[in-house]
Amino acid sequence: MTAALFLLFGLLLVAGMPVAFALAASGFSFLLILNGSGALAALPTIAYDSLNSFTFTAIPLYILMANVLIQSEIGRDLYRMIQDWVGHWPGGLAIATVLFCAGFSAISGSSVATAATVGMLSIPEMLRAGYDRRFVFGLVAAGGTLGILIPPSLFMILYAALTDESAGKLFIAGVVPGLLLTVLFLAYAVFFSWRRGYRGGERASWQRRFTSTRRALWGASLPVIVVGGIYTGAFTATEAAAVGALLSLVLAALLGRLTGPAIRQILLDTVKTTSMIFLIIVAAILFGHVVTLLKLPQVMITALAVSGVGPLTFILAVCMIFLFLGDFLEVVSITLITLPIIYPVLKTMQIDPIWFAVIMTIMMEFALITPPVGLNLFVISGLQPGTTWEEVFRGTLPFMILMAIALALVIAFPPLSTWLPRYVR
Amino acid sequence: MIDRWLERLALLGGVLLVAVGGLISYEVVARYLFNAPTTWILDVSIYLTMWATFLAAGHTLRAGAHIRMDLYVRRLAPRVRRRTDVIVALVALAFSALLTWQGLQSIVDAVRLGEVTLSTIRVPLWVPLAAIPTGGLILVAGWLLCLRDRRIP
Repeated sequence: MTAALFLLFGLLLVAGMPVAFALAASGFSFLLILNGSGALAALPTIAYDSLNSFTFTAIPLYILMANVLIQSEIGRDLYRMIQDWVGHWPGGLAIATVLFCAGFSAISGSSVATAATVGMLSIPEMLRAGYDRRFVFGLVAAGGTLGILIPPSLFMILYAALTDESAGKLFIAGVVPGLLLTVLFLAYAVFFSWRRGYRGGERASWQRRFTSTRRALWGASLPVIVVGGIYTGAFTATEAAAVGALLSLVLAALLGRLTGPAIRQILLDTVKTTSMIFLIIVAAILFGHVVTLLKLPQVMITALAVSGVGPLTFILAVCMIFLFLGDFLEVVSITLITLPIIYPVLKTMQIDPIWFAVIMTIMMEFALITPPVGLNLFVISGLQPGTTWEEVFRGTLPFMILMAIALALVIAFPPLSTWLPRYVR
Repeated sequence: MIDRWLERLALLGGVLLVAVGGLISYEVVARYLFNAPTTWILDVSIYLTMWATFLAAGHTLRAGAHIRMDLYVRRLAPRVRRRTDVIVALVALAFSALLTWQGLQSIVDAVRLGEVTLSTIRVPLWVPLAAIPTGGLILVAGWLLCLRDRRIP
């Protein structure tokens, strides 16, 4: 029965049905078989209950903030500033790209938005400067995945909504691992550029650095307010999202960049992404309902208890499952289907759920760059005409090794992710 | 024509989301400055977000903003691809129609029983619940347009 459910879902997915509808249609068909006409009456209730969460309201607000900053070109200001400071170093454009990925991740909670924004600005420049195509695509596709590790993070909000963990603590837990991964990406970018002999651009004058820094400072102060507010306990993660979104609107208006077409674009882009994510949430909860009815969680937990595996084996096994699911599902559905099953096991095995959240985030980063449903691969190949996702995927391979190293470090040294959140008030 | 209307509904949804940002920011101000946290903003934000999601559902579909695996269908011959898209659209249309119908039923029940939301402010349940059949209907329109074009954007 369970196999048939996943088979039907896979079939609809391969036929090109949007993920949300494939989950809903296959889940609902099985609900009908299992519950008969009761399933019909349950449909609106499930849809209503699944969205009835205040934590979820943070998602559109972070999307709104990122879209305001993109449309008002505050992202571009940030990129110019970074370039003026490091652009003249050997491989300077690659270094600036990684730093921009990390910086934009602190503004945006989405890896797709980060890859798209960074890619739009930095890919043409790097290609013009003669950087290797595969390296450029891989760098941006993988660098963009920092979006969900460095706070704010849409993934962490989902995690918080489905468990009892605080979104604020989860955000802060991603800081050190996010910086660690940024340093690894930087090291590789420097190494690659040095081996290929990439030269830096012209050194920017101090005058220019001063001007570009002053211009970018406003945009750069937003993440400080958001993350700082959460860290000091001034706001919850949802409130930080609202304040951040509103401040970004005010800032864009003050800079005179909130034109009519820009507003329209901000509204439409925000609501489209929100609608897409929320429909997947509704559908995945419906699908998860059926998975629970089929007693899959109980079967798994019992199997685990009988086998007597330790926490580490469990984590590694779960990572393997994520790697497999990440090949053909995207982050929201993987999280909504698996986390309600896994979370109770974490409790019984006494695995720190915050530590596990960071491990899972890195696994979700893998999901974003593994075909056939690696969103970042498509975003990057869509940005540059004549690029296939296969080319981008090959480019990400060295970065996947770096991500595996970061994952190993996070697993081996739990304080990397659990030390900082302890001080969140 | 209908696509224009779907886009307008999405814009309305976008405005609702900005309003949620304003409301929650006001809540922060009310708590710190006036020391008077509100009881209604939390729930109203959830309802507005629900409405935004469903109002924009049609435009999201028509603008091709949904995540889907088009890796395989892109390699099909145009004729086969059109046929696949039609079948997929029919399945999704059936589900959307069912969602609309069942959503309407649940509203009728909510009104008849005079149900209110389980929250601090007691809003009639049908107010947030109505987002679901509205969204269902918008999705029906969206999928019908896909059937007309014999193509999923």
